Amino acid sequence: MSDQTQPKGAQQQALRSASFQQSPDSQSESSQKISVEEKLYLAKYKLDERPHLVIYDQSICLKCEQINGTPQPCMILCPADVYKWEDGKRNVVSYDNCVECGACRIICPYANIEWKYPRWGRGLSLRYG
Amino acid sequence: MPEKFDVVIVGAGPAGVSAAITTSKAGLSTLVIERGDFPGTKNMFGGIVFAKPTAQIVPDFWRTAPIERRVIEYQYWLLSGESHVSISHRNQKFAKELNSFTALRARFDRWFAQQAEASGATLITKTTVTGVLKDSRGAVNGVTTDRGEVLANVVIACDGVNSLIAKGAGMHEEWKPQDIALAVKETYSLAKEKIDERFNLRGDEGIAIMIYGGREEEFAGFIYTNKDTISLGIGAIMSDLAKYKTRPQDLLEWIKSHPSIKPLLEGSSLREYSAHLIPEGGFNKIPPLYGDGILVAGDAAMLVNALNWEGTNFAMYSGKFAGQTAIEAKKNGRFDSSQLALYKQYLEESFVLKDLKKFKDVPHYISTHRQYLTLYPEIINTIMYKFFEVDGRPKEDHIREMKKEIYNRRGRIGLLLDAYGLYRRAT
Ligand SMILES: Cc1cc2nc3c(=O)[nH]c(=O)nc-3n(C[C@H](O)[C@H](O)[C@H](O)COP(=O)(O)OP(=O)(O)OC[C@H]3O[C@@H](n4cnc5c(N)ncnc54)[C@H](O)[C@@H]3O)c2cc1C
Ligand code: SF4
Ligand code: SF4
Repeated sequence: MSDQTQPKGAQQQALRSASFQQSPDSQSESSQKISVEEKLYLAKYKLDERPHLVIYDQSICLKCEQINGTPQPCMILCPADVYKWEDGKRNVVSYDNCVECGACRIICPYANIEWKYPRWGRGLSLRYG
Repeated sequence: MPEKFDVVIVGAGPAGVSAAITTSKAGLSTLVIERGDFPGTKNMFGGIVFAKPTAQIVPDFWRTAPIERRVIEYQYWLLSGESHVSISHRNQKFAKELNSFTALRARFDRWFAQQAEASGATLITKTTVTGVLKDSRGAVNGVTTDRGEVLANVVIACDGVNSLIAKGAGMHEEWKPQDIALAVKETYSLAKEKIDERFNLRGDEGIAIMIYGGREEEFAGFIYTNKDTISLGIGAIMSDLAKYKTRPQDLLEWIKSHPSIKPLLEGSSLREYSAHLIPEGGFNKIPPLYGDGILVAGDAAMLVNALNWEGTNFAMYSGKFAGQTAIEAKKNGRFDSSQLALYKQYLEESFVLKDLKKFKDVPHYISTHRQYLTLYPEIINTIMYKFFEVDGRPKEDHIREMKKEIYNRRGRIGLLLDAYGLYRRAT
């Protein structure tokens, strides 16, 4: 049970100095679009090696795509871009981006996500909140 | 044999900590289990905490609590394409007698939980409760965690909006997307003097801005000033996001780029991005609040007044009432549901269920009458524009155009019905 912060740290540092700081006369940074992926680098995160989000049945995601089109509900709502529809047949879950809100579990029309909190308080750790 | 406590509380948010302070002060052995690194690291809100409810739990809180700013001004904005109309109320009474203060949860919740420990409660962190234990008669008598089991006379589920404990105990089903809002928030750092100047504030004065309108989705935006950070976010009903295929992060980008809002963030740096759900089903969707050996408080029981963005106060009071119920139960040596029903009585006698009941039809009414979200903000913005516009024509012409515009869009009867409909449900 190691309690190490993920190596997101180094990249985070680089990003901070690169895109989040600016000279006083430059345009507001809020005008530059920062991707969710980049925003997530700002967070402190400890990985639980056991995925806390698991798709029960990929064939249901395929059915979901046929009915709802893509992006499917989980992909629209997830504020951390955890779900990606790959090769038109697979829902790939980057659970290490998850901010643990619970939206995907509630919006999935087929209750197809096994949703847990990461163990031992791992996952996201907010500094402001 | 696992250890046994009088009370085991799941979650060290405002509800759990208020329950813990109440029971531990009365001498009940109290364990609070929190999954975060420390209380608050998993929690996000707008937001403001209300002074009087906090003082009910920690009377001299203002001496030590991590208050960001005292709110002296509240604003409501109605957005339209490139304009907004606002109502604001600034009052020095709010400075003299604190009404609410802005806070950051990673700091506030940690401080709040320390007060529970000072009252004698035991707090363990980095531990996720995975379910409840039940005795042979089906009564809840403890919890399972990812570090082992603990027994309790009463379990108080204060685990927040996901409410997995009460769901796991079979008390209620999964929430419906139309009853839950998904909110995303960003925290920006900006020098204190800049914030003061930008929002016309001095010392530890703060401002709270609620933002509505201008989109099909039922949403609410917010801006709060902290000491040297600004909290900005937006939440929308989940079923609306799905229906309009709107990603919450795009909604946030939209509101940030609105010309009335963009300048407020100028020169600031993004520090944090987070997301959280808000239970907005109101009175009609409140799940069972008690069972054999178990009580449910705060967000986990859908106790939020979404109209006024009040949640921490409902959490604090319901946590306190749950604690008082556990104290009475211990006196009587009974922990079955007929004993714990006292909790519901406490809630009914207080503002918690009174307020939620009063406004019970408003959330549904607004979501089924979209004109309040899109049409009215636009009409009001147009009226104000025409009112202030000077173009060399008589004012009479402006008024005629205004009236025409409104009647065209909604019609006299529609207007009357809308005004009456909202009045009946909200007063
Ligand atoms: C965007 C947003 C803005 C808001 N603005 C305001 C505002 O301005 N003013 C206001 O009063 N309210 C506001 N609210 C509502 C308010 O935040 C909540 O109503 C309040 O935090 C509820 O308190 P709680 O104790 O019930 O739950 P929470 O604060 O969610 O606390 C639950 C705790 O339980 C822990 N936990 C959960 N599951 C487990 C488990 N299985 N094991 C161990 N620990 C667990 C969590 O880590 C957390 O610490 C806002 C909410 C949001 C999302
Ligand atoms: S919403 Fe549910 S079923 Fe549809 S793709 Fe996502 S996880 Fe699969
Ligand atoms: S819990 Fe929230 S952040 Fe995590 S995957 Fe689900 S929707 Fe995305």
